Amino acid sequence: MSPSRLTPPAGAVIVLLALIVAGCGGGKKSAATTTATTTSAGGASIQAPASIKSAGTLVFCSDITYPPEESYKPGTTTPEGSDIDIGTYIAQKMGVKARFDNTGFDGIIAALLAKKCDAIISGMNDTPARRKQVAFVDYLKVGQSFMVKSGNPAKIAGIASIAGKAASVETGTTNKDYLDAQSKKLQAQGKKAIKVVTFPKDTDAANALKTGKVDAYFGDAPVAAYYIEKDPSSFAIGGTPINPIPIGIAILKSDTALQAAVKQAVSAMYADGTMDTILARWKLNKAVAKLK
Amino acid sequence: MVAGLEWHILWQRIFHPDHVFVLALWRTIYISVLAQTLGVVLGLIAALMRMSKFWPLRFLSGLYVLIFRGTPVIVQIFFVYFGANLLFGFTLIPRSVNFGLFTMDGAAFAGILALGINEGSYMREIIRAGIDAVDRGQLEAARSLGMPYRLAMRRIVLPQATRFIIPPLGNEFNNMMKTSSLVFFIGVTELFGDAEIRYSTTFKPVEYFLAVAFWYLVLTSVWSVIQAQIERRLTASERGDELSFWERVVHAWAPVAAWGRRA
Repeated sequence: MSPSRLTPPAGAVIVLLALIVAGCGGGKKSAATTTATTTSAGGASIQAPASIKSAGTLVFCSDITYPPEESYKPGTTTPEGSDIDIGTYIAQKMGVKARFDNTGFDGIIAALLAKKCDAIISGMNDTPARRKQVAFVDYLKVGQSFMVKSGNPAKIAGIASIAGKAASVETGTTNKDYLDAQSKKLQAQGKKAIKVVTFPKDTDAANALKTGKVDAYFGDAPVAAYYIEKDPSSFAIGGTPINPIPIGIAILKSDTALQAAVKQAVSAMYADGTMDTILARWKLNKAVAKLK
Repeated sequence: MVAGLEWHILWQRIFHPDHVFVLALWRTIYISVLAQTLGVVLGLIAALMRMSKFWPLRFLSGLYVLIFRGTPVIVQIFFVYFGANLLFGFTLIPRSVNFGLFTMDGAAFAGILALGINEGSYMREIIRAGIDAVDRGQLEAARSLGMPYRLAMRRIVLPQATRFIIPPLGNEFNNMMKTSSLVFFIGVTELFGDAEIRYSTTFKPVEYFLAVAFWYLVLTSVWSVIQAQIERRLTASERGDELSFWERVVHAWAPVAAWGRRA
């Protein structure tokens, strides 16, 4: 074997060294660099916290697999949906741009706590358990619905009729917590428990129903309505929405300046009618309730 | 006939991929290539540490393998990206990492680090086995010619060990391309993440997952051809009993036919 045959491994080593050097250098540099984006002052009327103002961007963590609240426009990397419109409005009011970083819902609070974003807007229910970790600025109330196979073969119309049957939910959601609690209640009444099956993504949970792995899907009413609209031959609604709970924008507890600014922006959105426009645009009038 | 399959979606995903998809494909490629490269470097360092006469180095090498081969890679990805902030309150990996010439998405960088560190623990064993497979006499002969240990390692043992390392390394990289889909968890939209996002808006999992399976198959097929070429070069000294380039291609696509050969 002649030395020239050894070029592939030798080349690899050089690439690696370059990578390591770049990695070390990059870490230090990035700490010093601040991204400067042009500030769009159009419609700005709320004082943004200094750090956001200097960054020029309000970064939201969002699980962008959740139509009609947040999803990508087909074939693009542009997010769209009611939450996207709401987040964009809030940023505009502060005179900065909005950015939505796609983050899995089960890791979304961790991402906020790790300061990978400034706030979460992801149809997130404001719950006492989550309030232990983050602060919420509520903006809507959302009910929860059972979605069933079209024709409702399992005859599901609410909690009582789901006893002893299987329901799919997305992991880390209040939907799952609610079903678990109701299941215990049913058992205490001497009825059969609900078989709660959890999935990493909401769409996976809905797909489990479509493929007949469960008897019902349990999720937020707007999302269930969206699925049914998309695929009416597979899905139907099971009963009326239950247990409406507020959804809010999650912000770090320590970030009181941003909490105040977002609160102002949300009341402005209610006052100037933008909220109605957004709800009408995404056909959410029936599925959600306004706060007041 | 498959019931209700929307062929036009599958068709479009395979023959007319849009730029979002191409970007996702590119992410999968660079994340797996860089993570694998990092894994080989770390594996080599750890393998050499394991053979050290100095026991703390051997211990560290063992600890590294124990931790990173013994815990799920998705947990490692989580801790690399979020860990420092959540545990110690400082940012180890910012939202975007500036390399001077270009900036990289912080999550993608964290993914590469985590996958690379994890891969290193597997590569250590592969590289060690490769070094062990080189006849001991080779090192002894080099030493008796007056070569210092390091030089003998670099010029005599490691080049020969490479021949034993490349086939399992190829397997590892093949795996890496598919494992890299785990970085979707921290928000990197790679090949699989792109499929999930599309499926979540269209509600057509079968079409999008079939298409993404096809693209992974393309990636792994291309790699198996590249790997065959590398192996062919490395066995130049024993040419004659190994498969030719085209035989390898045929082999990859028609394994049954290849059984007849001594492959």
